[in-house]
Amino acid sequence: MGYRILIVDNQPLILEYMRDLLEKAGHEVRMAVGGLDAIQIACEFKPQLLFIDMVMPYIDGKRLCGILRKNDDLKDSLYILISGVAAEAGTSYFSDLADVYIAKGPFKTMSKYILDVLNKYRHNHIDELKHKILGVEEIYHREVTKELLFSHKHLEVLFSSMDYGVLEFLEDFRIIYVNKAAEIIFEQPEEELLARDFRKLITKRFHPQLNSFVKSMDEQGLELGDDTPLIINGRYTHLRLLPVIEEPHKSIMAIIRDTTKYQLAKEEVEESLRTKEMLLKEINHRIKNNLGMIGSLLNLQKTYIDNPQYCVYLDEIKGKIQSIELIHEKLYKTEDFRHVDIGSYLYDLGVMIIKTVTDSTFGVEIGLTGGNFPVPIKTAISLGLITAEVVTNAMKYGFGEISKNSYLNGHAPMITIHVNAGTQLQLVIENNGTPFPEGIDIENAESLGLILIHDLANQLDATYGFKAAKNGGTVFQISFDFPKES
Amino acid sequence: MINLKTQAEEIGIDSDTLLKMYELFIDGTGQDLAELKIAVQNGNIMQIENILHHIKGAATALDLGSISSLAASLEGKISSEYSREASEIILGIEKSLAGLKEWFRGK
Repeated sequence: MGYRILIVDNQPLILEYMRDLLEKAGHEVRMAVGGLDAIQIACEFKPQLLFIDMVMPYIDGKRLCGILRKNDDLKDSLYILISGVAAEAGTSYFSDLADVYIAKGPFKTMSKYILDVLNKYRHNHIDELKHKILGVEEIYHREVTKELLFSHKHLEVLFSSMDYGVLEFLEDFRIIYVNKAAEIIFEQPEEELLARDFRKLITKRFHPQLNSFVKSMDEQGLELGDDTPLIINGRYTHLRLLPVIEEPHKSIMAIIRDTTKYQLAKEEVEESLRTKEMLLKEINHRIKNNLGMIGSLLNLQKTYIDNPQYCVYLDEIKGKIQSIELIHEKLYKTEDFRHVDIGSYLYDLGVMIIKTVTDSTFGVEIGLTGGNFPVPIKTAISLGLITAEVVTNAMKYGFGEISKNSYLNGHAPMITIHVNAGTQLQLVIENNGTPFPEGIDIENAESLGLILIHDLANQLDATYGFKAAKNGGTVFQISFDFPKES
Repeated sequence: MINLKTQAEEIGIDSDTLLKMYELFIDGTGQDLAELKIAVQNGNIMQIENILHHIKGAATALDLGSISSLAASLEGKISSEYSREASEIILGIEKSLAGLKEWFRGK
């Protein structure tokens, strides 16, 4: 009675030899030149015996036995591994996946063992040959092969235990290797993934990049899933493709990382940041409105006060409140909650204070020179309070005696704010009103406004001073090291 | 030199098949030697080992002792420092192969 026998070897010489030997013995023989072909042929042919070469490119004999054993039609077949490295490997390298091992040697010796296996199989005595390497005594071992086998074993353990999916495919995209993690990611067992077209596992949008990479085999590799999400079975994944070239063999190694947890955490953080930004804007808006309401209450209070000096005090307080209110107005209109653009802030503040302390027909112009750059909030608040004080003083003392729409030496009343920054931030507020009186010791002054400026300047570790301008009027100048930690 | 009929009987196959196997061996080993020369030039030790192992295995299988011994002797001496000696041994294998080819041509 002849058996159905499949021979798997990548060497035509061995295939030709075994085909003739086995056909002459009356068996039906099929041949496969490698693991990928063997899987396809074995599933259709359903061989009772399989002679498989141990060392083959891409899918070695041991793995092939494991894959085919999982097929219900092939699980009880007899697996014979033919090994050219039997002398070096010894029985420890082999596993229970194969039933019998035959060492590669002279054909006449191998024929004796092959026919012996068939004879024992026919008479149900195959157990006598199990866990033996037939013919191993007749060959000698090479140390380098032993080292290679050890190295191979290391890689096998490493790949099978790693969390990253590792998958290898050929230039025609047929898959030749899958580790355990890749089986989990693709939700398919090794035997179903092997020999499949890798592209069928990846969404079509990435096919042009894949095709182009495989054509070029660029040694820099290819990364997929960074910018555009690569989703496999509902999981976010990152794919790194690397060419493996050892002529004449070429393949592509795909390292697959499940980034689902990272992506979900990232989305959660982004959503949380969006919420936080929205809340911060809302808080700044409410603070601004509340400070505005306090300003309105002060205005209301003024209508019940007969003493004009008290009204001036209320206006001064209102100016200080407005300087802070304006900061919060700027903050809720911006994306940056840590900084304020100082030029536009001080200019708007100046305009607001002029409107507060004068009626709308009083024509004091305000100008801004220098830059408009971000400044930490804490510094901006100090500069805002100082500016509010200096501008209020300018209105009160510089232009206090000037009647409506009057001119000073042919010029309109003017306040100029100049701000710039290099290694130091410098703020200069100049007016063309009545000059600042000489001989005032500003550091020891008892005026609330000057005390406030002095304390704020100290907080900024700044130098500051008032002086008379060349063409009349007053110049206030403050400078300090910049940038400062907020 | 080679008795095809006797050897085929010893192996258990037809002499026509054995003849075809020798043809496969001659063609395959010719290609192996071409690759071996390049590997020796590049100092690719692993590739040299693989090719020699392949030649030696096939020669041993066919009982071609001289080629098998030459390949085995080179296997034991592989390193980039021995490239001159390697070239000489490759030349030796080529001569043996040419002799084998000539013998079969006569048949």
